[in-house]
Amino acid sequence: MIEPIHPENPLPYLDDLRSGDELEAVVYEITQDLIDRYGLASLDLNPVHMSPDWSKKARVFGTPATVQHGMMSMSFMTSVVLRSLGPLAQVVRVDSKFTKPGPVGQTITCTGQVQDLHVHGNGNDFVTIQVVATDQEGDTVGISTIDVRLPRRPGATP
Amino acid sequence: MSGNTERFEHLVETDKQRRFSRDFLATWENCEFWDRADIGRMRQAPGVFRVEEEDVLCYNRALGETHPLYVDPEYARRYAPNGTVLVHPVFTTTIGFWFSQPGIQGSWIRTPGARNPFQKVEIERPINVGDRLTMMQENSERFWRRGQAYITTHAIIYDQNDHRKAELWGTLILPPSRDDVRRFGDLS
Repeated sequence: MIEPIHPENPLPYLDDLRSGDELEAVVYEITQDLIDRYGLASLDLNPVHMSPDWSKKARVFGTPATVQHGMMSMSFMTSVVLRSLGPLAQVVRVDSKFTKPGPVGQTITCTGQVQDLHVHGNGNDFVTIQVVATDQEGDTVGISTIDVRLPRRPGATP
Repeated sequence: MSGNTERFEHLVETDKQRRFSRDFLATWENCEFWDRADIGRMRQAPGVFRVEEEDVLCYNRALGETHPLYVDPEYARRYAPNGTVLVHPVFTTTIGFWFSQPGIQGSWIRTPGARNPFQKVEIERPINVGDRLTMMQENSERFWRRGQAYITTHAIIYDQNDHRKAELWGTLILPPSRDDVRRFGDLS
């Protein structure tokens, strides 16, 4: 079971959440600098992300622009959960689909909503949150289903 | 090395980044190809990934994380569960790419022209700064869907005590043959 260890870093109890609760959105602009920094941090240096000159010729996604990493999108979608529930939230599963490329210049908004509360006991209780990433045209670019293990309120019943 | 990597060399900051084979265009011929990949054989990836504080800070900062448990080592020493900055759950990406060097099974994740349709990670135990990680990897699936060539890597990450830390399933759509990859790899 996860116990908050510092008053500045509390975790919510599973019992404090309800299906349909919305999490604070994470918004980011896809710039080449952001892609470069993520590419180096993740060691994914594929030219479709890292080389504007190559991307103009290759047009892997039909666009001449470089595109964000799917894993960067997955990371930001996961950050929606971490920023809302707190950095000590124990993410145990992230399952992501990428449905539209995110070229440089797009602004992406990631929104999260509580789906299910899984009450298993023995410290294995978790919440399932769906996060959707949307571009500035309103199109979905990614969807993640994220499970987060959370403590139960003392004395809580299933 | 192609000129494509010179543009971002000034951002290189960690020892792993400095030692990593950064030019994916210079190494594509040494990577696995979709139509030649060995399916269903779990192998130990060579090497040990020691999780350094600088690796984790670089990842967290790239995402714009601001909570001190992610970006302030001194704060983390006082308040984090194990006294080090917290590792983002999708940091497993860095681990996966580090292990998938050219010539290694699963190195197709470096393929020029690849597209990323879906990914999954399950975390059994949090990864921490100081962990010495090893990885078992198999090409678990290869299939055609709507005329496109998909392949999935399945990897299990262990710590220095042989505890399972995380399990990954990463799928890409690839140019299916060496000649198909060459169309992208030879562009400069």
